[in-house]
Amino acid sequence: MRPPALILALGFPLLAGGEELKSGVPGAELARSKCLLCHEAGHIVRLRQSRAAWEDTVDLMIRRGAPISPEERGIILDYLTAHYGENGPAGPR
Amino acid sequence: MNRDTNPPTPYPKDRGQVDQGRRQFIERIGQAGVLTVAASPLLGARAFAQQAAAPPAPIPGTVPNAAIMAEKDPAVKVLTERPLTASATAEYLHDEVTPTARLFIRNNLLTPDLDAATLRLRVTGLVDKPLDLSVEELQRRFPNVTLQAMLECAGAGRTAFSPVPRGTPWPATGGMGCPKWTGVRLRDLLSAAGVKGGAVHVAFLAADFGELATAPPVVRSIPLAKAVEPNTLVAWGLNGAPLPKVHGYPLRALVPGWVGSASIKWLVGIEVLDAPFKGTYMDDSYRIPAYPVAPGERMPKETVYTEAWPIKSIITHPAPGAKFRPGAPVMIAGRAWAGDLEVDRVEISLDEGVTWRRARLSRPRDKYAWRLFTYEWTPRERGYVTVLARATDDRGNIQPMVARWNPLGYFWNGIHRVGFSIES
Ligand code: HEC
Repeated sequence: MRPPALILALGFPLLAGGEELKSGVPGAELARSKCLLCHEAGHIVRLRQSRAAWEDTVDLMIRRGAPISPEERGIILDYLTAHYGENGPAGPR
Repeated sequence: MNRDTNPPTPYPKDRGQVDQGRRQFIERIGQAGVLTVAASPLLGARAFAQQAAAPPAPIPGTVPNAAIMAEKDPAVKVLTERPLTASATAEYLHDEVTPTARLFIRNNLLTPDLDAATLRLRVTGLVDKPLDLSVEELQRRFPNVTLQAMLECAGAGRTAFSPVPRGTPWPATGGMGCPKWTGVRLRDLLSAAGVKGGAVHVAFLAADFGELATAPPVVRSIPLAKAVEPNTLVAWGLNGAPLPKVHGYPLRALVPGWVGSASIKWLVGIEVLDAPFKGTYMDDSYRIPAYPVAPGERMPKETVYTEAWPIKSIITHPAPGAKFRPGAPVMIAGRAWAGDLEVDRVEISLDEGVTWRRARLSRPRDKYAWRLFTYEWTPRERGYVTVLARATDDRGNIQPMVARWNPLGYFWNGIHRVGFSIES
């Protein structure tokens, strides 16, 4: 293995930036515990979309295996729409 | 793997059939000690707990991203880590045959660490004699073919759309490549198995798995006509070497000219079906509206599958921002390809599309290989130059300035433009 591989294998993230899901607000704990199970926050924080579009996204995640109950779905949708809604502040791009 | 906790899915029947094969497969290789720990919710929870401080520890039975990226050229930039996606952009794709180190990566789940010695490929469904082959048997029993062919993610170029749709944020010229593939023709396998009447689609079943046991397996199907096309392969070789793990080792499908997702990696099952497969990778993704929708709109109810790519080209030289001198010839070059069709011509504009001049186009080689276009131009004055390339296929389809917007951001084939300077 070439030296860079060794260094990387020790656990340096490949992506700089380390985008985070907004914490310390209602629903944040739940959203972070569910939505970061399979992937990093970048997929989510990149987006600004309507509640309807977030519904589509979250339902897709449920079909892709996300363990989210109907009650949890509502809380997470409130959180996503509040912080990553279509009129929210511009995201990293 | 226990899937009883699966949320209700809209695709119970077909998926169950293929999923059973996959379950058996995972159980078997689990016994062989390859996948000692199947993905469990705990793994995901652990990954989350570690998320803030350090990246997750390697998951058993998978290849860590760092090891994968260590084999890639620095021009290949990581776009997302979970799942891993990475790509270079046009100025690094000038090679006639895309080197393996520059080929893009598009995973849906984790990169499984499979063992070619124990892996089996099953051909089942509407066939007279189901097949159950080792990699070695597959290679020995059927004629081997090598061909150069395009592989391009359906979402390649996605960030060129406005607004940018969700999904892998491919750069405008990322998510595509044209390496050489070695394998056997899928049609040879299918004729050995004997396709029964009523066959309509052929499904590919992949062995990759996610961090949660609830993640459904990746299954995609293609129409029988494309499956028996002589360039559709079950491949094990990439540019003369075994497939790297991240590109599907030991076996993958190659469905050239079509959206890359059809070319399932880590192939373990082929099932002949009487209808398209129903599953999240067929019905939630890789679809476009049946009619044009306004940018930013939701997906309408009526949708169609994405299949062959439309006509497309990229400028690979000069690189953006390059500098040249007046009086010295500049070679403008790039690649053009046309899904299932042929490239007819490529034109170049140096005045924002007011006038177009024909580029020289290389002879066609393998049917699905991209073609080189070149246009030599000698700048007379200093200043900034924008070059546009526009390809046309043999049915008269011309690349648009801007591709038609769609909610999942597929089929970006808008005209590529590159700016450079002439400095005296
Ligand atoms: C079971 C695993 C899993 C969980 C849990 C999960 N996702 Fe995903 N998510 C995925 C996968 C797999 C992809 C990649 C889909 C693809 O690449 O086609 C993805 C991609 C995305 C994307 C990118 C858009 C797209 O379609 O590719 C967004 C946005 C997203 N997830 C949001 C969420 C949110 C919000 C949650 C929490 C409610 C969540 N995810 C939970 C598996 C999961």
